[in-house]
This record gives sequence, structure tokens and C-alpha cells, in this order.
Amino acid sequence: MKKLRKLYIGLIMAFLYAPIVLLILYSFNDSKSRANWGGFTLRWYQELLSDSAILSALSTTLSIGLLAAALSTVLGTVGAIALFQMRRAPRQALLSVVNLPMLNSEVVTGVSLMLLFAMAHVQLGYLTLLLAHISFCVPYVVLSVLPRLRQLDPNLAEAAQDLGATPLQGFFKVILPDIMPGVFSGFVMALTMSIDDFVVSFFTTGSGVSNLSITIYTMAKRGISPKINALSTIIFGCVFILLIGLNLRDFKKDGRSKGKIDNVRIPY
Amino acid sequence: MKRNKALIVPFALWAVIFIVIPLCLIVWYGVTVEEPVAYTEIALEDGQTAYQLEDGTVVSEKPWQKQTVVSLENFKRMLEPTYLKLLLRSLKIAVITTAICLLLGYPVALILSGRDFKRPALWLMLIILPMWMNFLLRTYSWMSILENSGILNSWISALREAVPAFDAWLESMGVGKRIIFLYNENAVILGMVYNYLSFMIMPIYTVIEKIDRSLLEAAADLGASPARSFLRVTLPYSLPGVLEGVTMVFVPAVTTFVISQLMGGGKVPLIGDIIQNQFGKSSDWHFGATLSLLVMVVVLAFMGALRSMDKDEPDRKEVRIL
Repeated sequence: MKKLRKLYIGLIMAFLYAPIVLLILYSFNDSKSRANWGGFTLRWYQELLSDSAILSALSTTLSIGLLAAALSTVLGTVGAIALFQMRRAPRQALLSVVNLPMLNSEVVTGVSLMLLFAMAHVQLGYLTLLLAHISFCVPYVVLSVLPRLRQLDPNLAEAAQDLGATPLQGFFKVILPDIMPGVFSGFVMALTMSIDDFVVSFFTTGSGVSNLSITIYTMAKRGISPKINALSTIIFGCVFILLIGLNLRDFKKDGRSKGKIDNVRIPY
Repeated sequence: MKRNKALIVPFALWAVIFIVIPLCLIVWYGVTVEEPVAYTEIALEDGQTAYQLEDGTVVSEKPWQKQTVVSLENFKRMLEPTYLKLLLRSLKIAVITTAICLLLGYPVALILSGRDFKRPALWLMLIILPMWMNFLLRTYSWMSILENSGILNSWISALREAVPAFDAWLESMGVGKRIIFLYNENAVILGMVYNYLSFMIMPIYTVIEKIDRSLLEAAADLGASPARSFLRVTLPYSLPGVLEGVTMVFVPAVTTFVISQLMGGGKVPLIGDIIQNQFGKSSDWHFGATLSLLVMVVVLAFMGALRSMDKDEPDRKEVRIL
């Protein structure tokens, strides 16, 4: 039975990783065609460095991702604290508004933001892309910070103020350190969502500004350049090493790393 | 914590501008259409023509402006069989995808939360990791596995050459030299299952992991078989996770437009594809907004139904083992 269960997990892993392994192989394939193997090469990695379209898409993706994650973390944390301090009824009302983008499909979010920018006569481009990303990231930050605030000991902030801290000092010295794990996981989630997003970006960008997803989408109709495979292999490798590193450290700490999983929520 | 009312202002402002107003705009665009301004021609004495608008102003040039009028025309159009069929197909594909993800994903969550694997967190991370590779690329990679001259077909034909009996058997089944995997509904479903499977596994795992193990021990002590304790303890406790997983798979599955374009090759258009078209090639924003409204209502109705199922659950604190 145990073997059967392990076999099952193995099969699922094979299903999940088959296309990824293939992609990585293609990035070393010395042939433009996907059908045959033309020998090992690093040429796509070299050509990648001089492909300005892909590099600019990469820098758009990264800069939008980091900016959107940072700004939505600030806005979302402020929002979570504000929500937390509100009375029950208005809080429920505002919270359900904030949850709407998470319930709505991406298409609806994308379309609605596009209409907003059209109404405000804002030319679609980098700014609208950034604003759109911030707005779909904020709810995730709020939802990861709120539970932390609920666990907060209300006496702590009061104690800080009794001891002469200004509210601002109280926030930075007492509250923020306590809710930091939630803030951090909100940031990571926002970053992940922003980097992986295609649908909302599709509707809210313009004037030649495109991130990696959009570049790939445009390419997919003509055939994807192996350079994109090379780039994805690099990104995937970095994330792989980072995550394995982080996880192994946790495993050493407490054999069966449990609580960690609680913070994982997947964006869609 | 001292209440600080000022904090709410920027946040509420953001919520209004980027959530409430955009949704109102969808509704507004959905219930309006653009039509040419109505006018009547007036023959002037000098033989020229002037045009009188509805508000009485007279202009000398033919009015070209369009005006926005409230109309339910787009709702009528939405109910045409073409669009209803598309919606039904999207729903059908989404339901099948969700069911397959549940069937494949639940056992994964169950096994990983058991004792077979020493480092469940590591395995779980390996399940999420593929999401860090752009989903378009992963879908595209599936295409190169499945296409007519793709890897799967070349493996099959190699096997056919090596094993004549296999070849004969396939031929007797009426299978051609190249098997067509891509560009049909099944390919679209495969693409979706592949992309959304982790969304199903994660929430179910999180819930099963939290089940108090002493409950399972108690069940076993009281003589419940493993199957029985699964049905009476694990399954009912894991339902919230299942509901969350179902939502996370179903919602994007109903509305996707990329996977259907790649794996379906344009032959299996879904409602999402039509919406995308309205904002691109066909450029009828009003109809696009109407369709978005439709999708929104369908999704919200679905979530409402799920939520009410969650409430119907017997109080989970009271565990009935026998």
C-alpha cells in the first residue's frame, strides 16, 4: 500500500514536471525546431543577453512586480489595521468589497480596470499596468495581515503608549514587528501574483509596454523563441534554489516543518 | 490599539476607485449601447441641407457623433443560442476540470498529510514550484508534447515499430499513424487540469493537516476500519478545504481564454475568448461588458451555492464516529 501511495505521488510529480523538464531541455537544444534534438548548446543563453525585447519585458515584469508588491503591501497593511479598528458592521461591509476582486474572475477584474482607465482618459501603459497590479494585489496583503492583527495582544500597544511612546513609535516598535510575518507573506504573495499575471496585464497595458507574459503570448502564435526557454530556466533555477534553501533550513530546525504551510495560499 | 480614524481614508478611497467604480462601469457599459445621434434633415431655402438634432440645435454638417443610450439590446444578444452554447460549453469544461482536479488532488493531499513522507512540506513546495514557471510557457510545452509531430506521437510510433503486435492492435482499433491529441475539448481540459491542480491540492492539504490526529486514533480504538474513519472523520473535516479548492479551480476555469486558445487552437472557443474579442478585434466594449456581467453573475451564483452547502454541513465540532 505504502509503495502504491508513493508511486501515485511520483506519477503526479511526473505530470507536473514533464513540461518543465522538456522546457529546460529545449533551452539547451541546438535547433530552433521543437521536434528534434540538435545537440547541446548554450547559444540561447548567450543570445538572450543581447535580445533587447526580452530583456525589457523582463525588467518591466520585475520592476512592476517589486513596485506593485511594495506599494500594495503598504496600502494593504494600512488597510488591514484600519479594518481591524473598525466596528463590526462597517468592517464586514468594507471587507466584502475588498474581497470582491478575489471572487471575481481575472477577466472581469481586467476588463473593469480597463474601463476605469478609459473613463479617466489615462493612456494605457506602464502606469496603468502598475495601478492594475497594485489593485489586484492589495486584497491578498489585507487577508494575510488581518489574522496576525487578531492574534495581537491589545495590551502591548497600550503599554507602549503608557511608557511614553508616541502612536507612531508604538506602531513601528511594537505592532509592526508582531505582524511582520503576515506583512512579509503578503508581500511575497503579491510579488508572485504580479510576476505570473497575464490576464489583467493583457487588458491594462498598452503603448508597447509589455511584461514577460504578454511577450510570450504574442510569441506563442508564431512560435516561442528558445531564448524565452533559457530565461525561464534561469528564473526557475533561482526560485528552486531559494525555496529549497529556505525549506532545508526549516527542516533542520524542527524535523517536520508544520506551521509553515499555513501561510501558503495560492494565487490564481 | 488606539483608534486612528485617518487610516481608513486612503484605504477606503482605494477600494472605491479601484473596486467599486470599475464594477459600476461594467454594469453601466453592460446596459448601454452606442448609437448614432438621431437627427432630421431639413432642406434649406438655398438648396443645402441642415440637420436638426433631437434637442433642437441645427447643424450644417451631418452629425457623426455617437451617443450612449440605455438599452437591453446586448442582453438579448447574449441570450442568442451562439453565446448560450459557449457559456454552456465553458461551464461543462470547468465542471469536468474541477472534478478531475478533485479526484487527482484529494489523494495527493491525503497521502502527503499521512506518514509516508518524512518531509511533507518539501513535497508540497515541489507541487507549488511549477507555478513559478510562466503558465503560458508550461501550456506551450504541453503542446510540443502532444502535437502531431510531437514527443508523444514519436514515442508511440517508435513503440509501434518495435512491437508489431502493438501496431496491429492499434490498427485494429482504427488508430491512424499520428494520433491527434491537440485542438479539441480534451486537450483544453488537460491544459486546465495541469494548470489548476495545485490550487486544489493546497487548501485540502492545509485542512487535513490540521485535523486532530487523536480523533483518528479514537476512531481506530473504537473499532472503526481505516475506510470508516476516513469517511466519518477525515472526509467531513476536509470539506471546507475541498470547497475552497473547488472555488479556486472552478472560477478561473470558467473564464480562462488563454488555455483554450493554445490547447484548443481556436477550435474550442470559450466565453472568456469571446469577452477578450470584444475588447480587441471586434471592439464592442458594451457587449463585452454585458458578457463580463454574465460571467460575474454565474461565478457569484456558484460561490453562493457552495457557501450554502458549507452551512448545511452538520456542526463539525460534533464528530459522529459510529
